[in-house]
Amino acid sequence: MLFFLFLLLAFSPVGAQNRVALSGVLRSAASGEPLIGASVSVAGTTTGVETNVNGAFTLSLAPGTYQIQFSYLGFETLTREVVLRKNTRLNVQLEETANKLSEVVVESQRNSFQERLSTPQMSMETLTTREAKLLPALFGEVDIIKTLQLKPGIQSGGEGSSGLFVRGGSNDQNLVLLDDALVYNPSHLFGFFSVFNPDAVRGVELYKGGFPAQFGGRLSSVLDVKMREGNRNENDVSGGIGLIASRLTVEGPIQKGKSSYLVSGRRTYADVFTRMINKAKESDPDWSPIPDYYFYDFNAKASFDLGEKDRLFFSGYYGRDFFAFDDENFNFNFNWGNKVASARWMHQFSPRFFVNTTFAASNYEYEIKNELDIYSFSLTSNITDLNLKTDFEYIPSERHHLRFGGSVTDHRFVVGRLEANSQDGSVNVGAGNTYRGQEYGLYAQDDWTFSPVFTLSYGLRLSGFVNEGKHFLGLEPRAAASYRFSETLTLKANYTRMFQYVHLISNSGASLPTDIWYPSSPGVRPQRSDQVALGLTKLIKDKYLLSTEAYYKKMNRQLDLRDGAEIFANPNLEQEFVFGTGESYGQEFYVEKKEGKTTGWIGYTLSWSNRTFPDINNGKTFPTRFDRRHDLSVVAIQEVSKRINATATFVYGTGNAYSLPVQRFIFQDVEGEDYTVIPVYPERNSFRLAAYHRLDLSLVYKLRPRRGSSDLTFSVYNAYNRRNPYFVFFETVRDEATDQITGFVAKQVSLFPVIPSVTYNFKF
Amino acid sequence: MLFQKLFTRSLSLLLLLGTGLSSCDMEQEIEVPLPDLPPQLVVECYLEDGKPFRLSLSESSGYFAPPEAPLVKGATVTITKNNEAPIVLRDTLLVDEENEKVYTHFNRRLVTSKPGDVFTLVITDTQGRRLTGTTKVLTVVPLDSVGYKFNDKPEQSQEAYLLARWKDEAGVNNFYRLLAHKKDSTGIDSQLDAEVNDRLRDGQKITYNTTYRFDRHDTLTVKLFHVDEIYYDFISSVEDARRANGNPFAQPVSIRSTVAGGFGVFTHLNYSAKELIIK
Repeated sequence: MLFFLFLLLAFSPVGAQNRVALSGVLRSAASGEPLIGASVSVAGTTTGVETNVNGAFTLSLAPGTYQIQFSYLGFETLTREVVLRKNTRLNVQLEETANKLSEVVVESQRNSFQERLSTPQMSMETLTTREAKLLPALFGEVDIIKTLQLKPGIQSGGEGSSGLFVRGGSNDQNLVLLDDALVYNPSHLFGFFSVFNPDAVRGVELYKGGFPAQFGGRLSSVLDVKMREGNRNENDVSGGIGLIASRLTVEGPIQKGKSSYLVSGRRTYADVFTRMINKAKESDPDWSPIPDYYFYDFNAKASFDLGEKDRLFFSGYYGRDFFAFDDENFNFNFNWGNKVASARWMHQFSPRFFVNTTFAASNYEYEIKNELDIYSFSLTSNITDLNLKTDFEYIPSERHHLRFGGSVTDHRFVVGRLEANSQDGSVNVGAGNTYRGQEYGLYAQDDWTFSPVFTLSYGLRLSGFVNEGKHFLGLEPRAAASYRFSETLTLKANYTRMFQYVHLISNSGASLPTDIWYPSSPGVRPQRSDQVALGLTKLIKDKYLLSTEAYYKKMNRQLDLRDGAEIFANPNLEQEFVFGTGESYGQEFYVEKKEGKTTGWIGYTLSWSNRTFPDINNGKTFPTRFDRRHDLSVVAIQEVSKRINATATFVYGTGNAYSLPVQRFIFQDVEGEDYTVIPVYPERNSFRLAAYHRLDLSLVYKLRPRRGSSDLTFSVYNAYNRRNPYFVFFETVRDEATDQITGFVAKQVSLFPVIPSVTYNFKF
Repeated sequence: MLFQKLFTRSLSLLLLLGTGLSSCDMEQEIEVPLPDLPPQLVVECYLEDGKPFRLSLSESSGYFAPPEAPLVKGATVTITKNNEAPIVLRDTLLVDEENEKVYTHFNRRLVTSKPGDVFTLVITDTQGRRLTGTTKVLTVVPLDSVGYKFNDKPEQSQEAYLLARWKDEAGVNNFYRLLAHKKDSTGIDSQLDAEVNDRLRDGQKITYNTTYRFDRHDTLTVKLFHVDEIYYDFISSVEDARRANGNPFAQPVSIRSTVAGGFGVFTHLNYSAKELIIK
C-alpha cells in the first residue's frame, strides 16, 4: 500500500490547476452501446486518448476552444467544437458508416495509427467481431480466436484448432478473461471451436508481452474478451444458420437509454446427422458407430446506468460439450464445460478518477461416466474460482495516467475424483483429491508522458499464492517506453515478469478436456517468465502502418509429466511431475492497411521455442511441438461493391515439430499373446511435418430484406485442397493370406480437404 | 483402456467432421528419411517353474528395414539362481509352433523356483555389448472366481462380459496382468490383456470386468499374473509406445525395459489360471 501512496504522492496533480478536463462517454447512436478503444483527439495535433472499457474518455487541456475529433472503426468520424472553461462533460454518439460492409474502412485511420505510434504499449493485438466476421471461417463458424491466429507471434495448435500458443508459450499460459471472469478451458470440441460466440462478443485484446500491471497469473498472454452490452434503444433479434451450428441473440433496452440486456445462444447439430447415419447402418455388422457429439453455449449480459456516476454490469456464460458413445460393447458419456459469471460496478469519483469493482466466479469441470450391467464408473475433475478485484484509474494531469488496484481469488480444485461401484457392493472404489489455494495481487502503474516524444509506462505487481501453509510471493516489475523519432517513426521497448500459480497437467501433446489444473504447493513451485521486447513502428504515406518487434522470453519451473505417468485418480500426483525451463525468441513483422477499397495485413514471424527438462529427452533441449521457424499470414479484404465484400487469407507455416520412432523391435510376449512391433522413439520432437499452407476465401453478400438486415456468407476453407499434415504414423504391412509382416510404410493423415460452406445471418 | 477408446473415438469424430462425411482420401503414403542409429540388444526371457530355460535374443532395427528380426550370434548367455552356479544357455534356434514363439538360446534343465528366489541374467556379445537383468519370484495370487454375464439382446446375438475376481494382499504394492485366451481350431487367440495395480484397492477384493464381447460356447483360459513393478512398467510402456504411433494426441513414450543395456524383459512368471466355458 505504501507503494501506491508513494505513486499517488509522487504524481499528485501538480500543474493541473490551470488545466480542465473534458470527459464523457462515446456510444453507438444506433444501439447505445459504448465504443471501446475509440479515438478522441484534438484535431490537427497529436494530443488524444482512447476510450476505456466503458467507452469513457478524459482529455486534460488548457482552457480554450478546440476541435475535438471522435473516430471509431466502422463509424462516421465526428468533429465537434468545444469551448473549455471548466471541467466539462460531453457524451457523444457516433453513427455507423452508411455501408455496413465497409466496417473495416476507417475514414480517419490516421488517428488510430497515430495512437499506436504514440503509446508505449506494444506486443498487443486487438480485433473486433466485426472484423472477424468478414474473414473466411472453417465450416462458416466465425471464431475470433482463430482470427487472432492470423496475427504475428500467435500460433494455432494445429489444423482447425482454436488453441493459442503465444510467443513460444503453452496453451495453458494464456490468461483468458470474459468480462473479467477467468475462463479455464476456452474451447469446444477438443479445441476446434472457441467458446466465444461471435454474436455475443464485441472484441478482444490480446497482450503477447508488455503486460499492464493489472494483469497477472499467466506467463505468456492475456486474452481480454468483452461481451456486447445489448441495444439500449430498441429490441433486436439476430442470428445465423450455418453448416454445423445455429445462433440466436435477443437484445434490447430494459429501460430505454439507461439499461440493456443481451441473451445469446448457439448449438451444433452434427449429432442429428450422425444419429441418422448410425441408424441407417445399424444392420451392418462391420459398422463402427459414430459417437454422438454436440455443444451448446449461452451468454447473457445486463447493464444499468445508476445515474451519471455509477454503472452496473452482470455477465454470464454457460457452455457444455457432450460426447456420448453407446453400443452393445461399450458405452460412455463424457461432458465438460465452463460456467462463468461476473458482476461489475463502475463508479466515477470525478472525471479524472474512476473505480471498477468486480466479483467473478468461474468453474470448469468434466465428467466421464461409464456403465456396464451392475457396474458404474465415473471420473470427474473441476476447478472453481471466486474472485474479487478492484481497479482504480486516476488521471492527475495530462502527463500521468495512474492505474492501481488489487485482486484476491479463492481456488478450489477437485483433481481426478474416481468412483467405481457395483450394485451388489462387490466394487466400491473412491479416490480423488481436493486442494485449495488463495491467490492475490496488488499493483500500481503510471503511464508518464515525459515529453511529447518520450513516454514511459512503469509499474509493479506484487502477487502471492497460499496453499498447504506454503506462501509464495512474486514481485513482477513491468516497464515500457516509447521514443518518437519523428511524426512517423517510434521506437518502443518493454520488460515484464510474470508468475503463474496454477498449472495445467496434460498427458497429451494437445489440449484435451481431461487435462487437470493443479495448484502450486510445497512440491510445485510457481512458474515464472521474464520477457523483453524491442520494436519499431513506422507510418508510411499515412496509409500503411509497419511494425516489427524482436522478443526474448525465458520461462522457469515449467512442468511436464514423466514417461508413463498416471494422472487419473492418483493420490501422489506430484511424484509424476518433472520440471524444466523454456526459452523462446523471435522477430515479428506486421504491415497493415486500413484505408481504401483494399485493406488487410501481412504478418510474418521468425521464431524459436525450446524446452529443457533433465528427465525428458535425456536432458537434451528439444523444440516444442509448436516451434515454428517461419509463419506467414496474408489477409486481403476487397470491397467489391456496396453489397459485396470479398476476402482472402493465406497462411504458411513451418511444419510442426513431431516425434517419430526411428527403430523398432519385435516383442513376442508370453504364450497365448500375439507378437507385436514396438516403436522406439529416441528423441522428442526431432522430426518436422511438411510445411502447412492454406488459402481461404470468403464472400459476404448483403441481402435487402423488407425488414432489418441480412447477409449470406460464403466461405471456402482450404481453397486449393492442400493435404496439410495432421499427423504421421508408421503402418505395418501384412500379407493378406498369411498375416505375416511384409514391410513398413509411413503414412500422413490430413484432416480438412476443401470445405465450402454458407451461412445465413439475419438481424431484425 | 477407457481413455484409449475415448481418444480413438474422438479422432474418428474429428476425421468425420474433416472429411464432411465424404470419402475423401485423407491418408497418403510419404517418405520419411530416418537417421541410422546403432541397433540395440532385445531380449525376452520368461522363467517358469518346471519348464526349461529358454530365451530370445535379437536386435532392434531401423523402422523401414526388412521385417525379419535380426538374430545375435555368438553371445554368451547365463542365468544364475540366487548364489548357485550360473546356467549357460546355448545358441539354439527353437520354434514353438503351437504358441508361435521363437527361442534363440536354450538349456534343457528345468527351472525350479519358489517365492523369494532371485534370478540374474547376463548377456555379453561379440561386439562387447552387455545386457543384464534381475527378477525375484513372487507368490502366485489365486483367482477367486471367474464368471460371465450376457446382455439383454435376443439369444442369437447375445454377448457376454467376463468377470475376474481376486484378493489383494494388504500392505504391499502389488501389480497384476490379467490375460484371457480363447483356443479354437486356428490356434490361441488373445482376448484380454489388462494391467492392474492395487493403488486404490490395497488389501481388498479386486474385480475386473470387460465389455460385452464374448460369444456363447467360447472357451476361455483366464490367467492372473502377479508381476513386479518393473515388468508392469515395461508392459505399460510397450502398450503406450504402440498407441503413440498413430495417435496425434499422444506424447512419445520411451520403453522402460526390465533389463539394462538393451530392450526387453527378464522375469519369472507367477500365475494362476482358470478355464471358463461360456454357455
